[in-house]
Amino acid sequence: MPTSPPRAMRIPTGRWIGGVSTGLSQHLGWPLPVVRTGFLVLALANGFGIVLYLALWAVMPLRRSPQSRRDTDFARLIAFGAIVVGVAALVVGGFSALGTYVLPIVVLGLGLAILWQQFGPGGRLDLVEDKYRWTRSILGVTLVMAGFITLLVSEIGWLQGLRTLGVLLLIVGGAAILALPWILRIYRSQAEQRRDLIREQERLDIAVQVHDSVLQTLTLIQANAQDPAQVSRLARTEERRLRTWLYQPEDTAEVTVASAIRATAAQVELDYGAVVDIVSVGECPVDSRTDALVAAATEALVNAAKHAGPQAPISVYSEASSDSISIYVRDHGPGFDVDAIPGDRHGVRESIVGRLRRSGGRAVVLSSPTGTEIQLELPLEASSAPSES
Amino acid sequence: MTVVGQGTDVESAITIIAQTTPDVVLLDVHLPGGNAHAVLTGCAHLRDTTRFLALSVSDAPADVIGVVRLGARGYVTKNIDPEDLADAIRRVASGDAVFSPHLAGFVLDAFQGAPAQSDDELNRLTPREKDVMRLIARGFTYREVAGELFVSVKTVETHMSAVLRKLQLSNRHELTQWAQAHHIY
Repeated sequence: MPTSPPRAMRIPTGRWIGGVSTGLSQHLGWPLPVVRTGFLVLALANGFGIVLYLALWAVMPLRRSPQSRRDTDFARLIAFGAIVVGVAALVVGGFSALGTYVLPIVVLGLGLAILWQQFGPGGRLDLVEDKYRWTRSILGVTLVMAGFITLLVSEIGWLQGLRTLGVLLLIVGGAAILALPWILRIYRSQAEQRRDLIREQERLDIAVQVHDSVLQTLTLIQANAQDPAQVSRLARTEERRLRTWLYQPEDTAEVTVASAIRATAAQVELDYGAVVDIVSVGECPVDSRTDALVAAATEALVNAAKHAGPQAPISVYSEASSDSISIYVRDHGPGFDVDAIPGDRHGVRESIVGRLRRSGGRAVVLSSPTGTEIQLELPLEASSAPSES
Repeated sequence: MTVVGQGTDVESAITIIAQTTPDVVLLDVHLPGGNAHAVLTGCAHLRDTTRFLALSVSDAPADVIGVVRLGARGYVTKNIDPEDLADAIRRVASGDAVFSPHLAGFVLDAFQGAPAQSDDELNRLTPREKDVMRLIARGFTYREVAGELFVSVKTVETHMSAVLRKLQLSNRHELTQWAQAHHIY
């Protein structure tokens, strides 16, 4: 038998009633069904099992976990207790007691248990968030009222019962009206607190972002002030990162062609110190065929970055419609003679034009002394499935 | 080109604009104490004599479309060349529209989708206007657009003014949806 913990505890997970069986089973090292059967057998022996169960419930503390709410425990005790008392009344008083005592007590107990669970010290008072909140509250109140009225009526008869009930309602109603402002104030202050919490969280998020990236970049820039290329690169990287964080927070996953292009352009900027400006229209999910398109566009970007010089930015325009997707990569460099590329050299001819043609697309390279534009087009099948990559 | 005034926040901007009635107002989208929307609404009565060119660091759809719908004649980003900026100011002063590639992209995005047959002309772009927007979005200058489409620069400017008008006045349902999706309004 493993060394037992210093004290037996009731375990809330996997319990049926109070966790006494589960706790005991773990403490003594006995299998759970044995313990439960034991209690059942003892319960039949003149109710000894029930008494023992309740006694152990009182003595054994509940093992707390962060998720468990403290007062579901008390609620369960009430419910169970009510059922037990009801059954006891039944056994003692015979079946005539069923209508008069047992049922009302059980109902009353259940109602109290529900209400305690909702509004007891452990429960949260946010009436707005849980849509079953109102149903449960009303159910609880109804049960309590039903149980109470039945008990009352069975004691003093209908007429007296109704009169008493009327008086009681007046008292309770008056008290509720008196308490209403106080309750509203508590509710409102809770909402206010929650709002403040959210605001504080936002502020912390921003502070972290600024500290982690922006401050560090500014420090690096100061340290590298002699190297203009490095400074420019650092500034550009940080600008892009901040811009993405501010304006395109959903852009992190590369699930659309546009975001894949943005990612690859960022890498090109980093590697070659270029500046890439991206405009995208429409959305297209990534799949194996668009991979070829993105690869060709990357190649085009690299070419532009290598040969166009750092002066003017490289413009990328991507347009996705339902039947095709086009990408245009444009730079303002010195241009080159497309036809003069020898056929055996890889580069423009193979990696861009050839690759795209193999995927069923089309690539056109236009170059002049004022700049180069590479136009990539890929028709999409009407029934293309979304990304598997 | 002379600078007749400089405002530092929404209040002072509105005051100075009312006092000096410039031909063109270069308006930053984000100002202390508010944003360009407030200035544009505050100066709405001057719309005929004064024209607004919006300027911003961001290319966020909310900034861009928002100011255009409120009456700005154009939108440029802060990393624009000084010569291009002067050119843009001159264009706006003479009544034309200035589109940055990003704004052109947003226009194409917002007016995408096949409109209904009975749709008002105001709510869709003609094929020619789409071509112009596409070329602007691809990074072509006005001259290059004119060369590409074999028309004069003036024609290009006319098309762009027409697109600007449609963007400002369109009540197209998809445009509203698109704007909502991009958290503009």
